[in-house]
Amino acid sequence: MAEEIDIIDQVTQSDYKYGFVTNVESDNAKVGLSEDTVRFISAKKNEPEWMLEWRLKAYKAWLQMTEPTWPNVHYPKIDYQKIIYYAAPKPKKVLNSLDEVDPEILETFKKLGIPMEEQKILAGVAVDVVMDSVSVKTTYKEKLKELGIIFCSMSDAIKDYPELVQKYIGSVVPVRDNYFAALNSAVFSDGSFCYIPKGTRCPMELSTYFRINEANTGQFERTLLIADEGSYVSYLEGCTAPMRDENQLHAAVVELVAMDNAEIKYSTVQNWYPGNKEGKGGIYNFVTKRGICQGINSKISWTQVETGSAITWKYPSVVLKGENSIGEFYSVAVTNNYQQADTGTKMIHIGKNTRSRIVSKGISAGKSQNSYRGLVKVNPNAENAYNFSQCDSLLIGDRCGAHTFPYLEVSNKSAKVEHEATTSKIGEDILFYCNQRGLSTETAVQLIINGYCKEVFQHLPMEFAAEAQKLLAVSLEGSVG
Amino acid sequence: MNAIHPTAQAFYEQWEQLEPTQTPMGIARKPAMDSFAQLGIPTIRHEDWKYTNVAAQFKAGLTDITNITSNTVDANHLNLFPFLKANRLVFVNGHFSPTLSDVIDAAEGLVIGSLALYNELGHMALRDNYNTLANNDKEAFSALNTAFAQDGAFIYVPAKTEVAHPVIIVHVTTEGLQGVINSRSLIVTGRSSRLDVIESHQYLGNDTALGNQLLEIVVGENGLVNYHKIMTDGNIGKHVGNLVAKQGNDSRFNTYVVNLAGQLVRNNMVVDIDGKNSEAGFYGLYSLDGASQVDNHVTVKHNEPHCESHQLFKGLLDDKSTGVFNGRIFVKQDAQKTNAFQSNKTILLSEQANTYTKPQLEIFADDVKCSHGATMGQIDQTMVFYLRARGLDEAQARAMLNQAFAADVIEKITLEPLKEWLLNQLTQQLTR
Repeated sequence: MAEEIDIIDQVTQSDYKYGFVTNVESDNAKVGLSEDTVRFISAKKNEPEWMLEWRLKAYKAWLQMTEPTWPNVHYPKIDYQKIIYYAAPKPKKVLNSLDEVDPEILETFKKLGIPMEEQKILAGVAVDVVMDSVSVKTTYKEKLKELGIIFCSMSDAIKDYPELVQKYIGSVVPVRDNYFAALNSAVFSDGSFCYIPKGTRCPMELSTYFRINEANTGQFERTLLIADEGSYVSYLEGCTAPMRDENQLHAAVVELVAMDNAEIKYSTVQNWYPGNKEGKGGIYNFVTKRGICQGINSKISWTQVETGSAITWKYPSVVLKGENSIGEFYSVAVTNNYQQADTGTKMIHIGKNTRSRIVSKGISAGKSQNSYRGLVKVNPNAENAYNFSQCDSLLIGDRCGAHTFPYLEVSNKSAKVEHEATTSKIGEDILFYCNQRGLSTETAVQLIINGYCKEVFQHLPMEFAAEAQKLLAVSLEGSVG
Repeated sequence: MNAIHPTAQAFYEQWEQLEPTQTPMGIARKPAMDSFAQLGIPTIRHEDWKYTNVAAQFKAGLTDITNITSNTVDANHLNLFPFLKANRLVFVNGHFSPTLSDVIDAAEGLVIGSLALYNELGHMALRDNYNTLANNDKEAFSALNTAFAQDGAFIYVPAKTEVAHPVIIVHVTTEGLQGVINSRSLIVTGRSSRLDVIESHQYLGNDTALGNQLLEIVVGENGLVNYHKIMTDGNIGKHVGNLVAKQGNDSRFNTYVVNLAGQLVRNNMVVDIDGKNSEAGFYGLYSLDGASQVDNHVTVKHNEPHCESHQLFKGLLDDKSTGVFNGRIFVKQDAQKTNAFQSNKTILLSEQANTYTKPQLEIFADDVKCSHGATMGQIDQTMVFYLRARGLDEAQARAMLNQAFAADVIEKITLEPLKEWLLNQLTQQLTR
């Protein structure tokens, strides 16, 4: 019980646990977006000509596009001319060991509960730290290099592996794909690049910590992950952000490519600042994530735990092109107070014998709105495609909403598509049962919710699963009773 | 006023020629036309029309022809459901045909007749309810209908009255017409009343006008209305049907939609459950071949607590046919203790058939039980094998399994003779 009281104390006292500002000087771009901004970012990063051209092409495409209004979320209009599109920590000098890293940054990670010193020792986790857009330090690089695995920042990749970047960037999410993808393509600051060579099983979980730090800077991450034939990689992405009153835009793009027999496991714990209890502030998280199962027998699996952000709007998708390829999507989305989430997935079946599985668990509390929106599309040539989807919603409180918008489009008779969804609240009989055995209502709700989300949590790497459970408790603070 | 939508231009000019009247129908025309002038014909970019390209039908510049067509037709070409003892209302090209119609039930205050007539007479229930449910601000076809419709069925069932025999409404569209025929019906039932309605749409020939029909139903407190929409005749018909209904306390309302044909059929159903302890049921079957397309859009709005709704839609799609199902369950914040269920099952029988399903839930109350399920696939090979092992040939086995799959929906119908007839029709179609 002592532990539970501890959790409740943490829960009720914490406002936004990870809200703080690190004072690091930064080298910002001018406020606003123009062709000059794009050139400035490109120049700042010493990019080759082809990259600049690619960015400009995206910028021109973006100018012609209009902001989409179809999602089930509401927010004041974003002024794209009031955003600083580039902020980089001042380059000090090339660092060889952790001791040389800015002590303030190290302090930041201590507050986050993952001290870097320990990270180094922690078995099997290499961290590519992204602090306001520029990778400050990449650990484990040397070790991965031995296996031929490339894991570096996007900027380094553009310099060191231009042929790989040029071949794959925008191949899964084209610059014209959507409004925010085009914006990202034009102004992306940095991100992670990962290449797993043929037949290699990445021996550790690769992970990146993103943080938004500079006030008013949009964070435009770009991640590209390529798993070559017969390789395997598990990638972790986790987010926290400092407390701010003004909304911050986060428009990332993640592209995954899986070749023959390759497998990619991509896990996310997202805990951006959700705004305060009155719904003021918070991050706009408008992300485009997509993977393509290019080769036969390939597999891409997305697992996400979404607890943060004022608005979450993302659909990690899988294009199942290779024969026998598999796509998976496991999601827990929690909204509380005035948070809004419109999230789900797309499974596009193109190849024969492709299979996909969707498990989505939505929890809405307070005055929040939580929507699942998903597409399962079976093309005429996708013989024997199989999909199973399950989208459950749980409502806590009578002022929140849970919505489901699944699109099922089938054009092949041998396809088998199954979809089911339920919406309900936690049964009073179940709560009574727990109360009767001495559990407080709050503890009982936590217990039930953890059980409800278990199907998703079990797909997370262990450390993440523990963190996710704690996050869930924090996110649902004060929503019961 | 803003500019008129290009697809509404021809209609607008035509509408200005209509003679203005001060009847309930006449008064409703102007705001509806203004709304349609803004909306225009929806294209596939419109979320609700994503899979049904109705705009393509209007490329040739169709206009309203409700006013200019004759209403004579040979009764031998019609299916008037002779196996049923019933009241019959027949409308040819949107106009009442007294010679083909026949009303057998009589009770004090009971009205089964032509909307145009009772509009002229100024019937109280018509005055109070006409155009109160239609969503002319958002639904282009609804607005178009209100602006042009001349006639249709009007049924008024007074309180504590049970209509002994079903009312069959037959809408006939004759051959060789280009344009839109608008027909409009209104059904109002009082407290503790009961009514069975069968509506049949019959298109005579391959080249017929587009039928745009709007039906408003008000289900009274503690009342029961069973509404059947039957489209079984041949591979013909371009049809947009809007059903809008409202339910009072303790009422029951069931909708059965059976489509065994249809070139391009759109069934919109929107039901507002405005009373406590009420139930609504929606049962649909679309068994299609050729290049048919049937699009069922169902919206159930739970506005009051302690209500229940069920939706069951099944599709059997052969050849190049397309089936669309879009179900929406909407539970308002105060509609606690709502139980709402939705199920859509489709079997694809051919390589070229398509199915699009979008079962939506929008829930704003927490003490609810809502669920939906959707499956798509083909007949299980092991089932076929089981039947073949018992001496049936492949075709017989498949027909039997398809029949069993589809009969699920028809079995829900409570009017025995109609159920038997539909099962028969289905068997004929599946063994063809």
